[in-house]
Amino acid sequence: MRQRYLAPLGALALVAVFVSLAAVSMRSQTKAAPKAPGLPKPGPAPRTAWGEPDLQGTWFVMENVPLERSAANANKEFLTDAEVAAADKQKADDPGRNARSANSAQDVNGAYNAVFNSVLRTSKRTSMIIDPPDGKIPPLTAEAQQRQGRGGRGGLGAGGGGRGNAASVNDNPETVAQSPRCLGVQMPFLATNPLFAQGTVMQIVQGPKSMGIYMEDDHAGGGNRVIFMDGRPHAPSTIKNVLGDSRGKWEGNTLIVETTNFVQGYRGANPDTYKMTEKFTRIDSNNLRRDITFEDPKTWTRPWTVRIEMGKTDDSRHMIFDSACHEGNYGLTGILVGARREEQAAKK
Amino acid sequence: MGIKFTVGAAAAGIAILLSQAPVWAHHAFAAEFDANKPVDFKNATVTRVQLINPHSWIYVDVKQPDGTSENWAIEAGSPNILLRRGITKDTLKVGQKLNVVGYQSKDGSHRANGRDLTLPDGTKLFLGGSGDGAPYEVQRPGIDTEKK
Repeated sequence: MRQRYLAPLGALALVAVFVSLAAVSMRSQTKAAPKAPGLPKPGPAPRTAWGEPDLQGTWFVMENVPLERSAANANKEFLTDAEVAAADKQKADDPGRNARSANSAQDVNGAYNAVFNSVLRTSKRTSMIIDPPDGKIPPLTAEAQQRQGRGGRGGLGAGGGGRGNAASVNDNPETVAQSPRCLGVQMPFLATNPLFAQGTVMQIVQGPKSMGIYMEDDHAGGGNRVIFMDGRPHAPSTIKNVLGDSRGKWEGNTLIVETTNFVQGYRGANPDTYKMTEKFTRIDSNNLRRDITFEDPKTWTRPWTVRIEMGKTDDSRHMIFDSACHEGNYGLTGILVGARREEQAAKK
Repeated sequence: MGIKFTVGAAAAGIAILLSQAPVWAHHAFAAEFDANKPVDFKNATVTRVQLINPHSWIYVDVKQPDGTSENWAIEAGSPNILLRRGITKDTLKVGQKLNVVGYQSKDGSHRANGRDLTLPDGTKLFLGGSGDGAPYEVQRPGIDTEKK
């Protein structure tokens, strides 16, 4: 009986937390912006009232790390302090999107000036991928090469969650990528877009038997994961979720979360054989490490693992903007109408 | 989309080269906005501000030569980034004057992207003060902070 009601109760608690969060966020808007935020003093990783490591809080991606290691950094896991400083100086000097292009076709794609983008500091780490040691996505299996219609390494790009390929993406609402349709963020939730990485934020709320993660990747409409930690098995394989089906268990101070039952596999993986395993470890009060291992024997020749270091800031910034999303009313229509106008113009 | 992406990548230029990864906003803006229909509104009056995902919308009244005014919806960046820069709904108030440079939507409606938003005196809108940025953000003079 207790178990049966736990899930809905957990979900309710989660909703309550988010509602109160939204209320706090709205209230705080009426005040002037807080000045000079700083990191709270680091301390030991806290524990919950029931004695487990406390992962709760709002966590930010702090530094820019490319997913794969570049050729320039081959065999080099970390940059030197001087290299980081030089890269950051270059970023600070760069006008970026503030630079207007004389070519209006290019200029329109600039969309907004640089104030709407974030520029994270450069990380010493040269790739999110920590395994394999070369910092690259492992080669595709022969089957995946055939399935994806391409060879080489890595597989398909991250994909936008729509059903369209490059040529047909703006054909109809179903083919348009997920984010302009405000269908929320996608797994595995990596900050792969440095221009918006500052918006890659997740909030964890935790109970003894379940945990909720709210994910916001800047502007796509948010996403809520519920991770059950009460030992229940995965949902039947016939049940698929966009965010997958997550089960967690503690190993020492690390929460191991296995997620299966995805509608789509990451980077073109086969959803029936694809699995991601996350390891959440709170290093200290200010730092959370999230390691993710991607496995799919039908897609990659070996598993691969990324490391994401996330941090906190002071309480006044412990909020995520309400994810209410309404570009379905404007942006999506505009994109589809625009595509039809282009087709008409091409016929003339 | 392949061609558009290439064009877009060129426009983003150095920023993207620096970031070492092909990155883009969640949609190609050329799909929605018309490069042949630039708009340049001086002294428009803000009538409504919606800081909302995935993109903020700023509504402005634009005076026409015949004395009437048109209400335009200007698309701008996401509220999450702005919030982390200490920018709230009080930063831009109804009644405030605003210069808008951007491109009209392809469907010909009174919508445009806000390529550059400045106050009539030339001050950049949404300039975050130094230290207002989220943790570890690189501060760019003239973009995130006053120009040195």
